[in-house]
This record gives sequence, C-alpha cells and structure tokens, in this order.
Amino acid sequence: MSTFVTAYLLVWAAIFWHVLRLVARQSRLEQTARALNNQVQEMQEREEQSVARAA
Amino acid sequence: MDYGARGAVGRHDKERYVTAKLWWMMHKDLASEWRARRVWPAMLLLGIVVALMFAVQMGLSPEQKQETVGSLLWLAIFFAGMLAMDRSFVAEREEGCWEGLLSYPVSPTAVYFAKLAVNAIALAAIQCVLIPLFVALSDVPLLERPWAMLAVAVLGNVGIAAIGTLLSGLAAGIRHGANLSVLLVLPLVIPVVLGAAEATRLGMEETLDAAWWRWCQLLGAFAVVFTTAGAVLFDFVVED
Amino acid sequence: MHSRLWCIPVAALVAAAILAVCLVAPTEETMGDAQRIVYIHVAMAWLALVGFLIVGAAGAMYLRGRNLLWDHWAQAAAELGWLCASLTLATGSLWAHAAWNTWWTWDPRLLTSFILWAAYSGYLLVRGSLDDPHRRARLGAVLAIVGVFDVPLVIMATRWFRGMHPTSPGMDPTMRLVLWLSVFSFTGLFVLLLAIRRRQLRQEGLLADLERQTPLEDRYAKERTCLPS
Repeated sequence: MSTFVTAYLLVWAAIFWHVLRLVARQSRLEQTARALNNQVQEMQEREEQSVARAA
Repeated sequence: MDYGARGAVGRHDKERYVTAKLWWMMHKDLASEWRARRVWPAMLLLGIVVALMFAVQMGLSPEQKQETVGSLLWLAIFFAGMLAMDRSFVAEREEGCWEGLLSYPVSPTAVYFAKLAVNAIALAAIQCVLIPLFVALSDVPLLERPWAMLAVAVLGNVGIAAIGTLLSGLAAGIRHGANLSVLLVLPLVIPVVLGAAEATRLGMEETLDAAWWRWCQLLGAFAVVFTTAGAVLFDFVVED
Repeated sequence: MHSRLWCIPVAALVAAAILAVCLVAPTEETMGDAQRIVYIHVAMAWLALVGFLIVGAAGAMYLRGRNLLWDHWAQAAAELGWLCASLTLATGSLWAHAAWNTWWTWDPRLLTSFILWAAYSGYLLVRGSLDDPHRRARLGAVLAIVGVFDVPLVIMATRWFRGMHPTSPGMDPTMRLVLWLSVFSFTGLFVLLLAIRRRQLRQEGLLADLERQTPLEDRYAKERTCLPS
C-alpha cells in the first residue's frame, strides 16, 4: 500500500514541480515584456520631445 | 572540380579521385598520430591496467574467468577507443586544422568515412595488443576460434567507431565538449559493447550455437544503422 | 488562450483516471495494492517513448527548413519526456521492489529504459551548453535523430532476448480498461503541457529578439510590445 502511495506522490510531485516552473517562467517572461514596453515608451517620448524642440 | 576537359574518361576516374582523397585523409590522421604519439600511450596504459587487474584476480576459477573476460575486454576497448576518437577531433580544432579540412574539396561524408576508418583501425590496433595480453596473463581461450573472434571484433569496431566518430565530432564543437562525448556515446553504444562481450563469451564455449549468431546479427545491424546515421548526419555536425 | 479551455477537461480526465485506479481497478492477488503502480508506470513509459519520437521528428523538420519553431517543439518535448523517463525508472523501481524484492535488474527492457533516459539527459546537457539558438537546434537535432535510430533497434533486440520484465500480462478486462484510461488521460496532460511550454518558448524567443534590437537608440519599435499567442 505504501509503495503505491509513494509512487503516486512521486509522480504528482514531479508534475507539480514542472507546472510551477512553467508558471514561474511565464511570470518572468511577462515581467521582461513589461520592462521592454516601458523602455520603448520612454524612447518614444524622448523622440517626440526632441522632435517638438526641433520644431 | 571541372571534369569537362576529362569528360571522355568518365566515372571511373572520378571514383578513383575520391578514393585517393579518402586515403589521403586517413593517412594524414594515422601519420600524425604515429609521429606525435599523443593518444597511443594512454590507450595502451588503459588496456594494460585492465588486463593486469583481471589477471591478478586469484579467487576466480577458470570458468568464472571465461564468463567475465568478454565484458572487461570490451569495456577496455571502448574506453581506449573513446580516447582516440576524442583526440582525433579536439587536436585538429586546437591546431586550427579543422577549417583547413573543411575547405578541402570533399564532402563532409567523406571526412566522416575517413575518420571512421582511422578510428576503426585504432580500435583494431588496441585489440591486437589487448587480446593476446589477456590470453597470456589470464589464460582465457579467447583465440580458441580465431575467425569467430575476428568477426565479432570487426563488427564491434565498426559499430563503436561509427557512433563514436559522429558524436565526438558533435561534442568537439561544444565548450568542454570532450567531457560530454563519452557521456553522449555511452547510452547509444551499450547494446554494441554488450553484444560484443556476449558474443566473445559465447565464442569460447564448446559449440558455437544460434545464440552467438544472433548476437553477431545484432552487432551487424547496429554497425549498419550507426554508419548510415553517421554518414547522413555528419554534414550537419560540421556546418560551422 | 485556447490552452486555458483545455485545462478543465484534461484535469477532469486525469481525476477520473486516478479515481478509477484507486477504486475501480480490482486488487491483484499476489502483489496487493502495489500492483496499481503499473497503471502509471505504463503511461509514463509510453509517454517517454512518444516524447523522444517527437524530439527526433521535430529535429528532422528543423534540419529541413531551419525554422526555429520546430526547435521549440523539440525542446518542450525533451523536457517533458525526460521527466516521464525519470518517472518510468522511479515507478518501475518501486514496483520491482514490491514484486521481486530488488530495486533494479539488468533485464533488457530495463536496460532500454535506462538508455532512453540517458539519451534524454545527454540531449538536454548538450542543449544546455550551447547559447546560439541555431547551433543548439542543429546539434540537438543530430543527437535526437541518432537516438531515434537507436531506440527501436534496442527495443527489437529486447524482443530477441527474454528477460524478467513482464510482457503484456494477461490482464483482467477491468484492469485493461483502467490502464487505457490512465494512458489516455496522461497523454492528454502531456499534450497540454507540451503546447503550453512550446508557446512559452516561442514567446521567449521573440522577446530575446526584441531585447537585442531595442537598445539601439536610432531604432525603436513602432508599436508597443505585445505578447502574441
């Protein structure tokens, strides 16, 4: 009985760990995307400002 | 290569040209090893150590020795062979010869076959030393049926060299790849080493039965599959 | 995102399979409850093999067109497949201890499982030590294709040589049904996780491309960065 329980717990722990890794990676990905977005926005604003100053 | 001017001579001439190139590449590897003696001392030392360790087993009966000698022999052959195969690629990359070899006007498949031949010869050479050594030190009837031993040795050599050459070439392009190459080859070569060990053991029995044949067929199948895979895939390995 | 929709039915299927394994499947006389491990062990072994075929096929497709999208399938399948191969060995070991009182034997089929696991490990190690995506994809593909040549040969070899590992056991029809349910549901879970991971890899690739372009002051993205699905 205990062997069976151990086996199943092992399998589910492994699946759980894999899913957790997926979720962690996804949140890191979205964090990077947001940072990149902010960077692009800043550059756009700077460009607009320099265009406005030139005009 | 413009064969236009020699068109009348035909295909036969072209084939001889390729064979000449193959022979040149093999000769280059063999000659450089003969001159530099980089790998041979290590290979021989490995083989001698294994043979000695086997020979000093005093507690083993002759039957037990006969049972186990096949595995030890082929393990020693495999590891010694991997030493040679690694060096054949790493040395070229270190000396900058790799780019030169790739710019040589011959297809990567030909390079593969040349390296395969050299590595098979290296394995054969180590066998020529190890088998008599085992026989002399431990008194095992390895050469009871010389032609059987020869057949197993040839098939095993081609199988190990085929997969070893491909994967050593692959690992040579990776940082710290030399450490990886044995690790990559080992799982794929287990059936070959196992088969060769079993066939060697069965070759020492009183009668050569169907089991020995089956193992030889297995070895043959692996040799064919690995050589084909290597010939097809080596193109992709050398792209950089 | 379509994968969110699939989560519910897959989860339901897996839950049904687990319940079936625990409650519906009859207890075997000789081994008792430990025999139930076989339902998950067979599923994991099957998935490990399928995963490896996917890695090999995706690698071959990459080599044909040099499209990195195929490589994403290969990596996702390799990660999941490695997990399945490891679990095959682990659950098999536990089963073996219960059945034969030994953790491991060098029976041909166990040898094959070990070779498969080692091939996966080698593949992931090689991928891990290369940074350039195309180089990584190319060398990985070569390794995977060699492995795909090798594994069926080893399986055929095991058919020639009998061993301790049970071949298709004469199973009770209820047991067979539960086995099929288990394999089917875990395959569903495998496919779902594969699709999610593959999409994530594609997003990571696109993001890495954008990151490389953006720091140049004289070029910037005309639109905001969105994560395509």
